[in-house]
Amino acid sequence: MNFDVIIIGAGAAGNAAAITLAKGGAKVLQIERGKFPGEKNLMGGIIYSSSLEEIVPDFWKNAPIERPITEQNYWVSDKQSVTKLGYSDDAFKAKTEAPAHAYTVLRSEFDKWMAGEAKKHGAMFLPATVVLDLIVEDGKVVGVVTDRPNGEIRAPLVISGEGVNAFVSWKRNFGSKPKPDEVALVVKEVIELPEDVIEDRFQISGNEGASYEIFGDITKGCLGYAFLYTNRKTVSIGVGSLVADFANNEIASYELLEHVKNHKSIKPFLKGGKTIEYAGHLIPEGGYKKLPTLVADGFLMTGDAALMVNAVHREGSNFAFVSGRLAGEVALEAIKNKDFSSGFLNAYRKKLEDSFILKDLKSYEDVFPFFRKRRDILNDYPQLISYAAKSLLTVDGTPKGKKKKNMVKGVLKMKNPAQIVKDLYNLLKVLGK
Amino acid sequence: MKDSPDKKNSVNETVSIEDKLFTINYDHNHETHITCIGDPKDWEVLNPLQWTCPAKVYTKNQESGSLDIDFENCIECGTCQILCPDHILWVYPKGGYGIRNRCG
Repeated sequence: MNFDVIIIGAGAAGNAAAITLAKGGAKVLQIERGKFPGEKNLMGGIIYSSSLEEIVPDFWKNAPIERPITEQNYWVSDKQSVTKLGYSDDAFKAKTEAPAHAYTVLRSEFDKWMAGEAKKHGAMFLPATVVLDLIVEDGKVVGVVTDRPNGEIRAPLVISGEGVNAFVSWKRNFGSKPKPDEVALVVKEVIELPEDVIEDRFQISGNEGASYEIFGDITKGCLGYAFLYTNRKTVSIGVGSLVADFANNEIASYELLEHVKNHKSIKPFLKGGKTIEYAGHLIPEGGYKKLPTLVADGFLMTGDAALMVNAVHREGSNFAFVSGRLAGEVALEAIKNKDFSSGFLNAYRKKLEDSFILKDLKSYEDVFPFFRKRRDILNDYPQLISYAAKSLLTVDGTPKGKKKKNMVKGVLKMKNPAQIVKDLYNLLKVLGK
Repeated sequence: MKDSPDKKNSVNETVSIEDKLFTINYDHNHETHITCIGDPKDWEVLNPLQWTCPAKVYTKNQESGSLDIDFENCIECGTCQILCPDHILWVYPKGGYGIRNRCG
């Protein structure tokens, strides 16, 4: 059988490319190492409707989505205190004939559905097959080598949606293995609770959901954060940090997850729940400076394989959906023009540059290195915030005027004021690009 | 849904990694996908694997002093080959085998 395109992987990016191509009438072969799409995949897991609507209009009517995210919470934890900030907005809710802003999903079911959409439009799906290498002839990618007997399959174009461990791309020097401080390890548990208990505890109704991201002391000095998201009949709780930080701080991720679950502000949410699945996954955080070759003769890279993640804003699924769709659109043009040269395929890079994908990655290029260099910021400043809140909120007979002065004095004693100004300046500089 | 959750994985107590791994679905073909390609006693490099691997695949064999690899625990994240690229060769299990996330 002849194929126009081979797609490696049935994750968010691979599925987006497969649907776009199959809808456009291309002969697509999608290869996945799992027996079913989704069973190797994991994320926190929030998807953003705008990025998926462009691929599957009205997805929310049929897709296995869990809960709309209508309330977002950010907590800063210190040893014995938590400062909480939350934002809830009816604008995030689903309307008649319009989806909510974002939804939690569980990838096993969700990816199965999404790959099914590609199949519905005629994509061929080859499961339980690992792609081991690319076939490269005269400097052009012309197919893949799989772990099946006589496992060579040819096509004039290959799209990598391999995910974070992009072995096939790395083998051909399209990108390289990240360093331990360029990749985050996330461990997660899905905890089962009755639907009404979830709604009571999180103070949400049936068409609402909440997300919590917790920074500070909770990660025990590792650069990262903990998260708690509501699903329909489960909650997802996890914690992530750079692989280098777990290694250097001698902290086991699964023990840190226990620390998170037993935190006094989180434990009541989980009480009586039963863990139905533990899992772990890597997130590529190398950012713009480490972007791999996105385009080569007969080859395109999408999603995590191409480091398309904005970790500061917990965005990844939207980068994967959009990059997969754009790769699919360019591939359709390439098929029509029978031109698979890197010159023609470079339209993909152009589209990425015109979209939020490369714009955001570029504007955040200094943020990751800044935090990697200044891990102390995520340790010291939560202490300052908690000290300031405590000073202001403790009622002990001290007049308010004196209290405010004491607070400022105390804060300045904890951190050199020149340093605070410098840190703020640097932080705004890297964030404000 | 059960009214009273199993005590073992209840969040009322600290859950061990062994109990966590017990919640995972695996389909094993009993062929290892992890090889130590460096000195299996090079503990200066290998030591962090013992706590950084989220599935406790790597331990020091107290008798031989060598690295033990419990590949059937592997949850396929790839942390080991990022951390010790010159010592650990980690590839995907044969197509269709290994972890099978029910939730993900």
